[in-house]
Amino acid sequence: MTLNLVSTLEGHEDIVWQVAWNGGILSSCSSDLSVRIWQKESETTDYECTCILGKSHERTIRSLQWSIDGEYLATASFDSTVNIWKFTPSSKSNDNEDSFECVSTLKGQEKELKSVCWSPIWKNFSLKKQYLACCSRDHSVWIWEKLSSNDFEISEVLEGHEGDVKHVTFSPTEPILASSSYDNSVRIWSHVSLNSDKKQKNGNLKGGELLDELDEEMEWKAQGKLADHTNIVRSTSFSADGKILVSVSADRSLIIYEKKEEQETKKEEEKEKEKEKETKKEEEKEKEYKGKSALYEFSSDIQSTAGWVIRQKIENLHERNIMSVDIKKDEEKLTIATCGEDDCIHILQEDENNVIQKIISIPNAHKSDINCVTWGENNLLASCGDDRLVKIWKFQN
Amino acid sequence: MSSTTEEVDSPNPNPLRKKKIVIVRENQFLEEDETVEDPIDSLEIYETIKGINDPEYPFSLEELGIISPEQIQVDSRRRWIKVEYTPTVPNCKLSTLIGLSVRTKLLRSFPSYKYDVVIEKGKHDTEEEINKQVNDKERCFAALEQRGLKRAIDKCLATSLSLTKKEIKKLTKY
Repeated sequence: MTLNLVSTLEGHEDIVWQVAWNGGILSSCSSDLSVRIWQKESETTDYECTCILGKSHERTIRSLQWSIDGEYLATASFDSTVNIWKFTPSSKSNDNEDSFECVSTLKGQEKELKSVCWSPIWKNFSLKKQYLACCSRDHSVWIWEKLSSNDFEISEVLEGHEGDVKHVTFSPTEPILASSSYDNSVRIWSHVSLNSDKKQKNGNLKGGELLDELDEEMEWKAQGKLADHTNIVRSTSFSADGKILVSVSADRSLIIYEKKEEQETKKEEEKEKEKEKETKKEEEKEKEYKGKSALYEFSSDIQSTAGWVIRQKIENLHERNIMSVDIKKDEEKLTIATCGEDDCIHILQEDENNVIQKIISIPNAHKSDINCVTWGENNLLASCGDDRLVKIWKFQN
Repeated sequence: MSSTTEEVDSPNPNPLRKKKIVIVRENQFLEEDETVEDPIDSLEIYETIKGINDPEYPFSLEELGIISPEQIQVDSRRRWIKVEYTPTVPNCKLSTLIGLSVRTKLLRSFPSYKYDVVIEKGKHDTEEEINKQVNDKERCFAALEQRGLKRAIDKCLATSLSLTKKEIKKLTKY
C-alpha cells in the first residue's frame, strides 16, 4: 500500500486553504484571493493551471466546493460572502474554452465564512431540492436553497453552536448536516421531514407545544450533538453509505462514529423521554413553589447524539492540530486520509478485525502546515498547504 | 560545551517586577557544519521578540517582564517554538493582542516553524480562552486581515510607541 506523489502544482501566491475535485478537474482556493483550476490535457501530460478566478472576493477565500453535477462552484470567503460560479466546460462552450461566470453572491452572515458545502442527491428521499450550507465565525450555519434559476433563497439559519463554526458537510445518504466547531462539538442537523415526532402530536396547544408549532415552519432543525473532543473540531466526513462519521480535532485525535440501528435509537429515545418527563415534573414543582409559571418550556441544550456512537478513538494521530479528514468514497474497506499542522498526511484503513489502523504515513508531505486533503477519482488524493503548493498523490492498495 | 554568562539589569517601571536577565551564549564554534541549517536557539528568538511594544504602555515586552529567555523553548529538529508570556496583571484585556503580536512576529521572522504562544500558567483569569484563540491559526490570519487589528499589531511590531487611549478602548472589544 503506497501513496506516491504524482504532481506538485505551483502558482498560488499565498496559503492554499482548500482543494476540491470535479471529476478529473481540481480546484484550489487561497489567501491570494484567487481560485485556480488545474487540469490534465491528456493521460500523458502533467497537470497545469488552466484558469484563475480572481477579483471575486475581497479577503482570503477559505473554502470551495463543486455541486454534485459539476455545474456550479461555490467559494466562501473571510469577506462573509459566497460566490456561485457557473462552469461551462470547453466541450460545451462556443469558443472551445472552459468558462466560469459568477452568477450569484450570497450575503447575510456576519464575520468570516469558514466552509461551504452542497447537498448531494438523496436517492431514498423525495426531496428534490438542492441546498448549499455555509458556516461562519458568528456561530451560525446558513442553509440556502437553490431555486431553478441561478437564484438562492434562505432555507434556514441554524444557531446553537457556542463558537466559530469551522466546517459543514452533508451526509451522502440522508438529509442531515454535520457541523464542526470551535466549541469542541459536532452538531447534527436534520431536515424536518425526518422528524417523526410531528405525526404523533394532537390535542390542544399549550404553552410548551406552541414552540413545536413554530417548528413546522422550519425546514431544518437540531438533531444531536457530539461532544467528545477536548479541543476545536476542525473537520468531519461521512462514509459513502452514510453510516460512519469521522471527526478530527485540534486535540490531535480522530473519532470514528457509527450510526446505530434505528430500533435501538428509538428505545433509547423513549428512555430519555421518560427521564425528561420525570425531571420536568420536578422542575414544575420547583417553579410552582417559587411562584413562577413559565409560558414556554425552552428546550435545554441538545443532549441527544442523534444515534451516533463512538466506534473508535485514535489519540495522538498527528503531532499537532489535525486540519482535515476525508473518507474515500469508492473503497470497500473504510479508508481515511488526514492531514495536519505537523506537515504529515496519514492514510488509515480498516483491518481484518475491523479496527482502523494507520497504514501509510508521509512526513513532510508539504514544507509547512497541510490544510486540506480530499479524495478524487482513480485513487487520487489532493492536498494543499501553507507552503502555497497543491499536490496530487496516487494511492495503491 | 563552554558558555559565558552575563547578568543584565532590566529597566522596569514596576518595581515589583524587576528582573535580572541571565544571558547564556552557546559556543558558536561548535556549529560549523554548513550543510545543516543553523539551528536557532531560544536566545535568538528572544532577541527577535524582546523589542515588541506593549500595546498599552510605552515600554517593550522585555522591559515589562512580559517575556524572558527562560520562557522560550525551541525544538530545532521538529522546528517548534514555544513562547510563554506573563501579562502584567491577571485581567489584562490586551493579553490576546500581545499573544497575537508575538505569534505574528515569530511567523514573519521564522516562517518555516510551528508556534505555541501561551500565557504562563496561572497568570491570567481567562488564559485558556486566550491561548485557544492565539493558537488557532485560522483565527490569527483572519484577525490580521481586519484593518483595525492589523494596525494595532503593526504598532506593536514597529519601533515606535504605543497606542492612544481611544485605540486601546476599541481593541478591548475584540
